[in-house]
Amino acid sequence: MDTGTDKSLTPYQLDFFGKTSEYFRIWIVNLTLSILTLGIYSAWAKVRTNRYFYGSTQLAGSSFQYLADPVKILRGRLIAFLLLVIYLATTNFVPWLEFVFIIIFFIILPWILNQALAFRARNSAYRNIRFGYSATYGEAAGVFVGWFLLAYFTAMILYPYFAFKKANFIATHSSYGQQKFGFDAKPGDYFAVYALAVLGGFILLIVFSVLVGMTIFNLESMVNGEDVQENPVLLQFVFMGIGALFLPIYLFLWSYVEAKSTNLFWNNASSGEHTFTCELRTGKLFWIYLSNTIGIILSAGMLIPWAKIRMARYKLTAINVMVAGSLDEYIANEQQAVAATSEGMSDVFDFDIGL
Amino acid sequence: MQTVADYFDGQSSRQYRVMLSLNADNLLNIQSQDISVSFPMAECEFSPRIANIPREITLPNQAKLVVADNDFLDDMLETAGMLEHGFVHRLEQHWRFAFVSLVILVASVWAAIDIGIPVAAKQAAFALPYETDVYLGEGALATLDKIVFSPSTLKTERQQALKQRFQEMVKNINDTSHQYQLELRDGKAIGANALALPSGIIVMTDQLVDLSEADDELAAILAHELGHVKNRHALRLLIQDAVGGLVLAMLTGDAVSATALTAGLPTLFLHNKFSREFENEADTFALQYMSENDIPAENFATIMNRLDDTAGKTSDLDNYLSTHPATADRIKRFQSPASK
Repeated sequence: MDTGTDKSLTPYQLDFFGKTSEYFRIWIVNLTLSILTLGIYSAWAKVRTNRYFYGSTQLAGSSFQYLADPVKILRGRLIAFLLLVIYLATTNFVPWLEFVFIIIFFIILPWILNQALAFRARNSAYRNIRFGYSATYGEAAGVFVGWFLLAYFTAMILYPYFAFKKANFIATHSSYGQQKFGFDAKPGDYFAVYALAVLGGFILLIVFSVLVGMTIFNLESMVNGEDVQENPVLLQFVFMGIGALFLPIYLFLWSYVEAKSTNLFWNNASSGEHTFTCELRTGKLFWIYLSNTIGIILSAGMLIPWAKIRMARYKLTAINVMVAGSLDEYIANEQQAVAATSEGMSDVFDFDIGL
Repeated sequence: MQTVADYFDGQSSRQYRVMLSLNADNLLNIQSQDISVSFPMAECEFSPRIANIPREITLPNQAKLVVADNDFLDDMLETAGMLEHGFVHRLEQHWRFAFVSLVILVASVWAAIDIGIPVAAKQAAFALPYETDVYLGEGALATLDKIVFSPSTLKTERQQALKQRFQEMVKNINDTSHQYQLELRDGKAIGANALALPSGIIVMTDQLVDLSEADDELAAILAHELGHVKNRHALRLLIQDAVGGLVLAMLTGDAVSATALTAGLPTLFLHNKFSREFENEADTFALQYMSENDIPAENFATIMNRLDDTAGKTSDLDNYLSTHPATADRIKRFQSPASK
């Protein structure tokens, strides 16, 4: 046992033991039961899936636990589904209501996000100590509405600042036991990531357009006499080819931004004296996304479990916890219950509240 | 019999390595240098088994035991008469159940897409007031006029004659719920074509009129379009797409968050499948209309043939990517109506 007085940093890599062969069976049974129960079982399916992934993740020999109550998630999903139906039913016939809904959405968004983040944190535990999250409505509104709108109305020039604010907000309002997480990235770090992504995307697009232009030009001389524009089948194939080429570029830029901002997040996060490192690589992440996509398409979805397991393995094992002394000294917090309404809502409305 | 477990008291994150065993009176024994406690099995809560991930035992004092040895725990629970693996775990345990699940899943999704959703959407569509169709098509013609069409260049008399023929056809189809109206336009980029708006406005392009060699050919096309409107295909397609999308979302889950393509492709295929079915239904409607009103069915075949020649060749791939069934298959139905 560590004595707790030695504060030199010892790296502990996150371990992931999930197996495709196990998860495939969990996944297929989940899907079948969800379909047969017209979606009701999907709440239990979510809990079972999360329990499997959390339980398969270990840090320093102890696994994580997911503790959410499926009934609460089901209730949240039902409410969210009802709201979605009301929204679709009314806006289809009274289009100006859309505007009202957008206003209402922005008003309740901070509340929903707070609840959803709190629900997820408080139902995650490690060593019988729960994670936590707490922020006021005003704090969440400032970041998720205020900064988001500011980024939006500056043609996304301020988006990196919003990304920084978001990461900073989530980290500093989260806790493990009584220990709050710390975060000391600089906005400039985020601007650097996005600036390079935009520049890279721009260059790739130019190269890409030139290649496409040359292809079409060559095509016309290849099928001499026949006008390509007048041949819809040939044209269709050309455009499909262009689309197929565009996807990797998009995926590559996505991978770059995700790898860099995830690394930024963990490398600047801390929990008391413990810190983190994260070493996601753009190329590797890109390859996993690309091969997952191709695999899923070619297997008509049967490789989804394989894709999820290998993605989780890569992302989780990239994280190291730099332990100062030992992990034994966290103290539990008093627990408050959180409604799962908003957790279910975030599922239905497909928020990206991940990091 | 005993196994190694981790004990977490719930107060701190300290990990205690303990030995776990079950003694004769169903008492759970927890032993280490620092801890020596025991609890009746019945007062402990055991987390359900999922594959082989470590299971937790919540003790009456809110401490937790984490046990990696699932088989040991199962044996222990069986000895205490408390082993009750959930139905779900038993399904997950065996590949043969996974296979059965897969078959049930594919069959039920197929049944939902092929029968369930279309039938339910039809019920739902006809339960909605006819004003719905008007709302759906509202503004569509104005938009099309702005971005696609130009005013028709056909002679006024010709336009009048076609509209009159159309209104006669409308009388024959027994549908007072829609306000039918024929509009003629210069098709520009879309060329020879006809389309039906849900409210009952049917647009036919000058190019299609020019392509026809007999008005019965145009009547055949119009009958097809009338079939779309009368059977409320636009509304039904909207409902089917929405519900089908929900089913697909449930199937793909969050596995595809980064790649909209893997989620988008199935949605597109599904939409096209539904669309092709409505084209077939409209063809059936046209076929029936023509036989009831003594218009030779071949008229549909001839104009479709001519349309196909101008539109160019199609490949097999088109069948999956297309919103319409293969023209050759459609024409066949109209060439030999006697065999139907």
